Amino acid sequence: MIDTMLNTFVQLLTSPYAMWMLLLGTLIGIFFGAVPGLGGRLAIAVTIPFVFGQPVIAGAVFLLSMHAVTGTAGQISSILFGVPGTGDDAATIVDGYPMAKKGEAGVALGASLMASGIGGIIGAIVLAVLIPVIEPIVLKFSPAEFFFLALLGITFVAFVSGSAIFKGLVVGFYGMMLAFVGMDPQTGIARYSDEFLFLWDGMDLITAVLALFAVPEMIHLGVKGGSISAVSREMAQTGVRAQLKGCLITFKHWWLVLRCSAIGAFIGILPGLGGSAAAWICYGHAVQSSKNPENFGKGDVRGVVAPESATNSKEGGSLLPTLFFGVPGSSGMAILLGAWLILGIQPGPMMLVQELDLVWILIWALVISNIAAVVILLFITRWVALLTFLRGGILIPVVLIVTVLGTLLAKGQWENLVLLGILSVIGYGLLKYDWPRPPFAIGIVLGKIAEESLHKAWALWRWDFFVRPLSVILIGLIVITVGYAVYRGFIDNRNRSKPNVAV
Amino acid sequence: MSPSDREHEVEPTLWRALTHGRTLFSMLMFSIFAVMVYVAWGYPWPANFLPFVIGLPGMALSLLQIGIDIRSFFAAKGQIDPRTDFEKYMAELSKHTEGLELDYAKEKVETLVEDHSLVAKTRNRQELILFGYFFFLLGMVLFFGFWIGAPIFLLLFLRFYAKESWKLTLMITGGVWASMYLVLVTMLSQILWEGHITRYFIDTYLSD
Repeated sequence: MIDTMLNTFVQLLTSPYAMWMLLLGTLIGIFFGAVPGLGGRLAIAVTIPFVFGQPVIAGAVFLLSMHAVTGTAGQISSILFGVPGTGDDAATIVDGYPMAKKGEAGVALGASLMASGIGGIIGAIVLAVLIPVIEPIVLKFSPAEFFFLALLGITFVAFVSGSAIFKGLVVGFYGMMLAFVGMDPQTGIARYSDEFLFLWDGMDLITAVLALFAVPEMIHLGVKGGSISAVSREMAQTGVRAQLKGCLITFKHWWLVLRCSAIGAFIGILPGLGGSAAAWICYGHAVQSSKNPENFGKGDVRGVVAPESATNSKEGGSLLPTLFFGVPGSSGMAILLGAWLILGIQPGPMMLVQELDLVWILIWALVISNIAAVVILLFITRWVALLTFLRGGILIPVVLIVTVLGTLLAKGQWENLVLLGILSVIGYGLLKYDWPRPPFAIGIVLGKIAEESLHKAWALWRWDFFVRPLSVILIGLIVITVGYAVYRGFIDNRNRSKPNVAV
Repeated sequence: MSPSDREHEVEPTLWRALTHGRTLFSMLMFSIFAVMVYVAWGYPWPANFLPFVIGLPGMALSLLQIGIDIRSFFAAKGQIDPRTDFEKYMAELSKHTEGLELDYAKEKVETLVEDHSLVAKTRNRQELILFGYFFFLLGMVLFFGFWIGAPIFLLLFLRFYAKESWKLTLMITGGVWASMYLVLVTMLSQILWEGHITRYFIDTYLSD
């Protein structure tokens, strides 16, 4: 194990192309994180087509490093202007923005940068430490358990879709149904595709992801507006010295950073609980464990380091179910999982046996990209902050063109453009009417895995696969999850005097 | 309730609840499942197994959601906030932290925020325009190919939607086109879709 760990570290560092892709991923991740309204999911969605055909390691490292650092850059607008880049950064505003108003923007930024970096590294360490623990469990799983695990993944995600539990389940099932489009390997029937040859290989994952995530986000950005123009650009100016001071302050609260990073990593392991949950839980933990909780909300640096360390550390944790069970730990991981499948990586228990080198390279990529993001942002924050002023009117057409380009590059079929148009309308409907979209990504990725596992399990055990001990446990968990979700859905709807869902 | 709300208040009826966008979208989801389950009926086992296992609960849950939508419509007396949950969450957060809110792009609709139907209308108009541009892009690329369609779309969008100056519009359009050409054609040797009309034109007039 130690040998593999060290060898892969050297392998990554001595591969100029992989390191270049890691750096490029980090820079693109910073861009997508810094511009309000973009974010990590969109970053992966629009860049998947460009890594298609790349060497596996370079492509996987590029996508992971890009995804890992979007949160680090997202805090800039939260702290400087009180406008979170994504929902994950919202908790940072509560104390980060008051600090900026007190003239301590540099300190707040430095502290959040360092906390994010440390969080990301601790998340990777938690993942590394858990590998030997998880190995015997994962290797006990057979196709039967993987079928039920895929169903459990969908129900878990729907369960944590806020108050929209039924919507979450429906969207997850919708994703799974689309995964069934194409030639059925068992019967040779072209399901839902008839004479449309371009669908015989299945619904193009890249097109579906772009239609559900990229296009709706851009239309929505145009509807609600996207840039911050109400403030002077001088507000974006922060000094390196103040940021360095902030970095050092983080070490003063090392025990809090360590605790929040560990909490974040474990939240990441649970499929469906996102970065927002990790950030708010750790913010609450920081307040509760403080001797002077009255300072929170008025510009306490602990209110910045706690959520930031948690949001970044959860990425390491969420890699665990994604890589070894094929069940994405978050919506970003679901898209990442889809991208890795396109690259030729098959997440699952065999990753521990056949692809352990790749697993370690990904862990190292997580560590290095987090360090690189902190170092880069320490010096370029004042310029990155200007990205916040980038007008939606300029951003929207460029991203739409990249989306169309991505669809064309994926399979080179013009028919996918028509599919992009149709699915984009549905995707925007999901966004507009508050249907959670992450279950779709998880559904379409897990749908194929579930069906393959089902056929294998059926061939091996026929109906007996339902009564295997682990299967029974998983079926029980699915029933409990769905039952509780339905119960909570009814209670929420009964208690809601006014609907908080939008038109 | 503001005077403008009262002015626009209409009695919530079952018909209005059923034809509300939120309910219609739930119906669309139901129909997708219904059609897919119906089509799966014609497939042999096991090709139809999972479409049934997933599709039938999908239909049931969509029906349940339609019921919830109708109930919510009546509970809100037909006046439903058109902002997404995320927008409301961010606005609430900004209120507490005194942070800035994102600027609205074209129309200053925040003054109308009390009147949900007016805000919804403004947003619907904006959505239609943006989707119009998007479908224009898809159409241009389908018929004229990426290298002709994409810059025309970009130029028109920047100039007429974003109201950028001609100078900036031309600079961005030229810059984006040139950098994409450099990366995709010069560096990666990618051949992109040429478009139906362009292909026909090349085949008819330019080929030997």
